[in-house]
Amino acid sequence: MLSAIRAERLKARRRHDLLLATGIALSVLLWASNMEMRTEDALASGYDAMLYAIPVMHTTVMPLGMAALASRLWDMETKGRSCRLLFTAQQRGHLFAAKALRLLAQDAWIVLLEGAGFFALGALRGFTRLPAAGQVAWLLLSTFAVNAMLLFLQLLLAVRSDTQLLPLSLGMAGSLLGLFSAFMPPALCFLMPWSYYLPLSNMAMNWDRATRICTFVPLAPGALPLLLSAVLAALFAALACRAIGRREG
Amino acid sequence: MNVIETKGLTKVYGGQTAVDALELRVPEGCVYGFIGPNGAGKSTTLKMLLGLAHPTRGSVCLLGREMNEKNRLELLRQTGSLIELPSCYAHLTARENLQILALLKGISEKEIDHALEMVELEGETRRRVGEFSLGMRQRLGIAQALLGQPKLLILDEPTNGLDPEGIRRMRAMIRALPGACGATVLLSSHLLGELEQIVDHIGILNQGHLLWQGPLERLLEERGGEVVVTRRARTLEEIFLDLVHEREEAEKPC
Repeated sequence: MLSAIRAERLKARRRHDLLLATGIALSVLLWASNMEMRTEDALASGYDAMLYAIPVMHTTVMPLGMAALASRLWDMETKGRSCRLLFTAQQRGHLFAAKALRLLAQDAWIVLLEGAGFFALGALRGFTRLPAAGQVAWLLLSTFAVNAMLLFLQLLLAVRSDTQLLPLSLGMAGSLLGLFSAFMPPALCFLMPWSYYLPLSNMAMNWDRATRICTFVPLAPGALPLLLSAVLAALFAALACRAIGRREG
Repeated sequence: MNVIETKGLTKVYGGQTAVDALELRVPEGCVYGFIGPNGAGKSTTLKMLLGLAHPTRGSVCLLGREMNEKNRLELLRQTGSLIELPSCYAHLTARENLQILALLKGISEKEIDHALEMVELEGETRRRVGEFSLGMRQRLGIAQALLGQPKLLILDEPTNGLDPEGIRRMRAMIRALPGACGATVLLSSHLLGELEQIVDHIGILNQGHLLWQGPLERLLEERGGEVVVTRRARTLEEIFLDLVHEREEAEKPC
């Protein structure tokens, strides 16, 4: 198994996958940095506003980003016709496991960058009230879980397709669906893996028409959507592993 | 000893029998030519020998042991293969491509230089494979097959994309392998003229059935006609076409 992991690292040379993962995290942070916050009240609730807005941004950025990461990782095997050689040298399960670990490492990198960027952005903009650590940890944990689910879904599609056009198109459609899911009934969101960032959000916004003031209300963490994300991630991972196992070299 | 031995090897794809009860026997130390028209089942057979396709029925013995899921990789560590087109990562150099395979097969990195030298790619270690010509890629595929000096080489159309000089070199290299490192070579090719100069055993496959197998000399004696000056009156290509047509005639409804 160790040799499979090391082989994946060798294959990753000059692929700039880490750069892509960094770009995904930075695009979310750049978007978040554009939020208008000038008054004292707004600066006081700046972190809360970000906790509310970032999951919405994720529904747009992450589906396409995860599709790109997973497709790139499998595309080199498709283009290189390398499965027939790899399958004579390693267990198919090890190939899947090494790919899965690489994807999870990229996911962790994105979440870490976002976590660091979240506080750096707050400090730069002078947000005055620190958020509850649990709120931020939940945002990062839920982002990691939904990203992992999407990565395994996209890996499954990539393994089953001869070209990466279909998986990438689905990722793009997922980004659009994810965005529109903000306007859909919450129950409908559960039917679309790309929109799980929203049911997992732990911050709600109240908009007072009369005063035109936004206030943010912390919500209890949604254990059910998190559990569902984990179950779906495990299901997609198992299906992707099976697809690699059944693939003829 | 037979290095490859199959027993009733059969592969059915969606009701269509691609390989039918194949009894292949490849003796140790020979260069075995495996020929047949397009769709005869050659590539499917080679894939089953390498465990890339699961047989519907039958079994495969490699290097004297029946292959199963447990010992498959152990047996394939002593086997090199090139099936149809080479498998390589275009963003990596030839050396880096070989490093990956060496790592997975547990082969020392020192072997990489040897494999690159054998296919004359030792001077191309810095160029990415994406910049290689088709012939160079094919040579890299051969280097992958030769890595670790395997006891058995399974090569499907290894001269694809090579120029006449490349084909000549490849022919010389394959012919020398049994003597140089004791390797047995199973070679599939459409270039029967080429094969005739390399192989000492032959197996002819058509519509999944093995029509003939044995030493080439015996085939030429049985079906090659009289010796005209220094060569037989009929070439391997002509004999091959005869055998295939005879079979098709025999299978035609009355």
